[in-house]
Order: sequence, then structure tokens, then C-alpha cells
Amino acid sequence: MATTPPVAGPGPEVGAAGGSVLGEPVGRRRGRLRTWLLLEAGAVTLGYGVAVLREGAPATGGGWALVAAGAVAVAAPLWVKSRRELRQELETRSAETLAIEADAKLRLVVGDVVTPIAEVVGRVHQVSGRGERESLRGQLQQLVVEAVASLCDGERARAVFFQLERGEMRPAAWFGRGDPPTTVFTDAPADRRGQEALLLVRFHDYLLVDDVRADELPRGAEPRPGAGYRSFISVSVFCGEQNLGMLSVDAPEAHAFDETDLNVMRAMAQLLGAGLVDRR
Amino acid sequence: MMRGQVVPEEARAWTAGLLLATDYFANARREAVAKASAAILGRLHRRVSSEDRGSSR
Repeated sequence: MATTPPVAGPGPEVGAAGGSVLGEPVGRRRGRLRTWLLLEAGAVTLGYGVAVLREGAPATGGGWALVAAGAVAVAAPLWVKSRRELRQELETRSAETLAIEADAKLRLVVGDVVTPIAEVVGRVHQVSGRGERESLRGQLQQLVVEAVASLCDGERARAVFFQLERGEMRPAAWFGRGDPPTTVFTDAPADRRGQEALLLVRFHDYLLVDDVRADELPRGAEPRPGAGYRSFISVSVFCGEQNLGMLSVDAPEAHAFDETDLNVMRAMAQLLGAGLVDRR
Repeated sequence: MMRGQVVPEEARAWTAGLLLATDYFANARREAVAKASAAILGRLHRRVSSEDRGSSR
């Protein structure tokens, strides 16, 4: 599953900026740790030197060997301690960065995406003119694919909303990396992928595929030949009994999405469904 | 105390199509990371401080 989030892209910069447990720059703490270790080594060396001055320098090879062995005995534990403490420092810093990434993503999803999109959904149902409502619905589709492509963890992700009309699904809005989508899902006997996609919508299901080349895919979920993606999530868009289409996000990397992305997709699909549904 | 708009101006500009999604998300992400960083470090600081007080008793 994903570990390279564009959403949390700035995450590593946070680490680089030097945040640490106590809000103290990591570099400064590491420098202080080294200073203490050097002081410790200096104190031992001084004590050793004083002892040598009092007792006199070693006169034999065996005496010098004893000095060398003493130096190694002092340096080795200090070196081990230094490495262990630096590793612990690094682990703490990684945990902080991960916590910051998770918190930032939550803020983005709830504060910067769901809130304004929910406001647009409300407006869709308030406007009286059909033309204005359709225009707002088009706007809503575009907002949802922009949000999905920006929030989901895939690098160079592409989000597409396939609208269901007269038994076929065609791309109605898309956002993300280059190539515009061309796939049309139909119920034609030769269109196995189309049939499966339509079934996914009808059964109000979702599908997350980590790697289209590695996973054992359900029939009809395999990519078309020459497709530029390795992983994808597809989610049915519906409201009540009305089936409205399918929201998909894909990425050229394998394992680009995780369960958090899937939950973002499910929430966005439901928001989209709430905005597209007809009053009956 | 905190007070502000439920849907901020910048979010309204994005939903109205006046602001590009790339610009909106770049800025929103930057702000979210800055606030998350402050919140997490604050929480950790408070936890470490309370543990220090607990262990010194």
C-alpha cells in the first residue's frame, strides 16, 4: 500500500525543517548529544592521562598494548551508544513525520474538501432552474474528481467520473495526469470490462486493485491493453436506488493507494451521488 | 476562542471555478501541514511534560 503521498508530500520537508518531539531542531539535539559523548570521552582520556603521568609512560610493548586495549574499551561503548541514540532519534523523527502527515490529511479531507463540496451539493438542490442545476452538477463532478486526484496518495493520480446514461458509462469529468480517458463501458456481450463495471455500479460496490499485473483480478477488472496505470480504485456512485455512475482513480505505480484513499473515495462518491440524484 | 467562516473564501473561490484546483490544493496542503505540525508537536510536548512531572514525584 501507499507510502509516497502527494498529500503529505510536504511531510518530508517538515522533517527536514527539523521538527522534533519538543519542537527543538533535530540537528541541534543531535549536536548536543555528540558534545556530551565527546565530553564523556574527554573525561575518560584525561583520567587516563593523569594516571599515566603519575605512574609514568609505559616502558614496554606490553604496557603500550594495555594502553591501546584501554582506549578501545572506552571508545567502543561510546561508539555503540552514539549509534543507538542516533537511531532512536531518527525513529522518533519518522514517527513525528507520519503523525503530522496523518493529521494534515485529515484536515485537508474534512476542512478543505468535504465542507465546500457539501455546500455545493446543497446549492444543487436549492436552485430552481433546470439549466442552472445542470451547470452546478457539472461543476460538482469536476470538483469531486479534482479533490480525489489531489487527495489520493498515488503519485500522478488521475480521477475520472464515468456517468451512467442509458445503460452506458462515459467519462463526464476527469482530472490529473495527462491522457484524457476514452473508455466507454457498455453492456455489449463482447465488452466484458463494461459488464463488470456496470455490475459494480448496480451492486453499489467498490474495487481496489494494488497491482493490475500482480493481483489475481476478478474477471472483467483487467486493464485494457496499453493502459497507463498499475493500481486503481473504482467506486459506485449512487443515491438510494438511483445508480449514477462510477468514480475511479488510477496511478501508474503499483500499490499507490491504501484503505484511507478507499475511504476518501467512498465519501466523495456519496457526496457526488447526493448532488446528482433527481428529486422524485 | 476561534471564530471563522464555515466555508472560507478560498474554498468558495475553488468551488466557483475562480481558483485552480492545483493552486487551491497546494495552498491548503501547506497550511494543513503547518497546522498539523504545530498540533502534533504541541500534543507531544504536553505529553512529555506531564510524563516528566509524573516521574519526578
